[in-house]
Amino acid sequence: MAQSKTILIVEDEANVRTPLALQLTERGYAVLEAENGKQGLQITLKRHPDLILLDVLMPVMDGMTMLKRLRQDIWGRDAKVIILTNNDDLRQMADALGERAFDYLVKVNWTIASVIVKIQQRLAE
Amino acid sequence: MLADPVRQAIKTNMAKEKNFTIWYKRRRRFLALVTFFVVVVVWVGWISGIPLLKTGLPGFPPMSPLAALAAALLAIIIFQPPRIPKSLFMAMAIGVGTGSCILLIFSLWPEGSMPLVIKYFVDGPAGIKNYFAPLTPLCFFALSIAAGLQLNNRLYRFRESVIVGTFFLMYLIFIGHVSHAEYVQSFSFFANVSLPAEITIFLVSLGLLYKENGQGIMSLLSSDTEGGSVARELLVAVIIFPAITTYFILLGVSAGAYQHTLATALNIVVNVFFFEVFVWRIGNRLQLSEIARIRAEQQVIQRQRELETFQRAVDASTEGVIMTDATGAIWYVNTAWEALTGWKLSEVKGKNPRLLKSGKTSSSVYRRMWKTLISGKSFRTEEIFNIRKDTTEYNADLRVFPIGRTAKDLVYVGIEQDITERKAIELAKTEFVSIASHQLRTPLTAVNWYTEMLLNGDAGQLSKKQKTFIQEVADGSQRMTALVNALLNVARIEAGTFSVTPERLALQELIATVFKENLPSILKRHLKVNVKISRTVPRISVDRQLMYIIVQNLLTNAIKYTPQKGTITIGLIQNRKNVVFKVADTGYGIPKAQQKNIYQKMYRAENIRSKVPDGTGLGLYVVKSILDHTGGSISFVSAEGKGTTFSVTLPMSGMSARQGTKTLIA
Repeated sequence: MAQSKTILIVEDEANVRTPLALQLTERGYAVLEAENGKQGLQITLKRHPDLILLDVLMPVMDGMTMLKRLRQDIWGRDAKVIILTNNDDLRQMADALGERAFDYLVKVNWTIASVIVKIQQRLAE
Repeated sequence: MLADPVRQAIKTNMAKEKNFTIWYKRRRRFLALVTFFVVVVVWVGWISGIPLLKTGLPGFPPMSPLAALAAALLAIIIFQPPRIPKSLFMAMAIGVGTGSCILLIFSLWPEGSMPLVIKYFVDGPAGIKNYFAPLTPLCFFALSIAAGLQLNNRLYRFRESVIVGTFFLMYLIFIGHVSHAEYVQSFSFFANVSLPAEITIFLVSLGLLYKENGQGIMSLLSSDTEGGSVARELLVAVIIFPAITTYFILLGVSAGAYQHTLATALNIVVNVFFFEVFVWRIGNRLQLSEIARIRAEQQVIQRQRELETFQRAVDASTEGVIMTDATGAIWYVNTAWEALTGWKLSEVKGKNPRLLKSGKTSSSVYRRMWKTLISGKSFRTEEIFNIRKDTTEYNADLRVFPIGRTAKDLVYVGIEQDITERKAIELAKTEFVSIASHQLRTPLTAVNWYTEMLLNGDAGQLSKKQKTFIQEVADGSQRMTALVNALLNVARIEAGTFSVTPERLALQELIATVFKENLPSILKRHLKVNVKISRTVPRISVDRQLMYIIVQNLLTNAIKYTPQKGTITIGLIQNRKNVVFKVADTGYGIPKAQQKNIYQKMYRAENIRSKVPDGTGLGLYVVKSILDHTGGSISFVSAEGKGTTFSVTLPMSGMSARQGTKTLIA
């Protein structure tokens, strides 16, 4: 099942990023990885991934700042973003920012399988 | 006047004290009285020249007048009740003493050398010995006025003195008429006053005295006070009684029954005796009331001291205390309150405590406060934000008590404490729990996802044993995830930051959703489920997430704490103005002694700790907290070994909305 879609994972924790990358690669997606918002933004603007999985609390540049910057870019304005975090206190803040994140998932409450289902749904849109 | 209960208590006390001492005191005074009486008889003997009376007691040699005087003084001293007001006693002593001494002096005066004016008083122009009329009443009347004045503690004004003098003069003339003593009728210097004229002047002066009501002797005589009753008794003793005895004795004289001299002596003896009896009665009564007054005063002083102690305690309290009248005007604040607010009592006296309002306190707090206070109950809140004089702000823990039954004596007492720091610490603790819980989630995510992948066979097929072990790891991690979520909910509840966003929901659907999610565990435990959900219960506005947490917690509890093949009943009914959601089970139940603790954070009943080791002890706490914050309530009935029924009651109006920065995790 060949998949040509590219997914960028912006996540500082390797032991969370890696299993996700492994699963997505296994399903045929091209996976890009970034360790913080700054790296994520650079890669995004260069490679224009089909979907960004974005953590929030990260060193150097956090996810919300990256999302804000991304929305300022002409291409980035409509990029598909799923916020994948463990901090649900920021959900309302994300909503308030109005930066149109497609989903706001709390990692610890989601199995990897259901995260992938969500990704597939978003990519199919 | 004393309060009746106090008087009553004193009387009871005094009745109890009727012991030997009192008995002896009474008899002692009686002996003194007898002595005094005998001495008076001796005087009368000397004055009247009757040898028998001079002896005091028949068969004895005559007693010297000086010795009699000494004995009289001694008797008076013994007789003096310890608590008769000294000045009353002095007035009596002076009255009786002066009268007796004058009589004594006159009787010893060498015949022929007495000044004419005095002679008139003693003998009269006709040279008859007096009939008791002029001097004795003068002494006693002066005495009664002195006593009355002393007791009423009031000075006569000049005008009244004149009227009293007239009254007294008329009384003398009247006695003269009665006694046929011409010099008294005319008072020597004047023309004889006719009886009708005399009675007219008498009545006019009486009327004038009466008009002095509130000030004068008539008001004293008619007053309910102790002074009034003493004046009344003395009036009888010194005016009415002597007049009657004099009249009858003179009747006897004119009928030739006995001599004038004997009659005078008899009259004095009888009158002095009755006067003494009156004085004795009055003295006793005054003594009792004096004791009562002193005791009452002591009680008042004692109460005063207690009140001062209370005041000092309140003054020194570390909590700010403020008192206002019914209109809210401040009349007291203690030093702690001054320190708390920066305002001095002198600056805020008479002002309204609203000068502390910062505008940050929710108006609903004040509404609730006044509603409670008006119903006469006390109110407490931690949600008051006030400003100090220097405009800095503080978070206050405020308790307000309405004290007093009527609007007139209503007082509001406020006790205030600065809890800004405490709240900050509490918030820091809550935030710590929140941060720690979030930190725990990242490693948990890694464990969850890697175990998931292992069980999925992503790292190659696992042996049966490996699969079992990894499943254990996954279950443990899931429990930890649930615990972290529960802790976060607790932190949000305690920080008061969770929001309530009601929407109109069909509870039937929500219950069905939760039920479906839990079906696997129900089947696994072979539980029988009764569903008694009324279709007619209308949609009500509740927060979906919070309602989900409530239903989920109660249902999973029922599943968890019911042994295999037990029965669970889920019910939803409309009960008047409420919607009631019930979950009943035939499970382990809650032991009676532990039922009161069941909503406590981290509490788990003893009987299920070993049977069902997984459980955070947070579920019911969270459910109860949600309901407390949204206007609902929860109750339960339980018997150990038989089962438990939880009932959640929500008003038809649904949950009240609440602003907040966070949501609770389902």
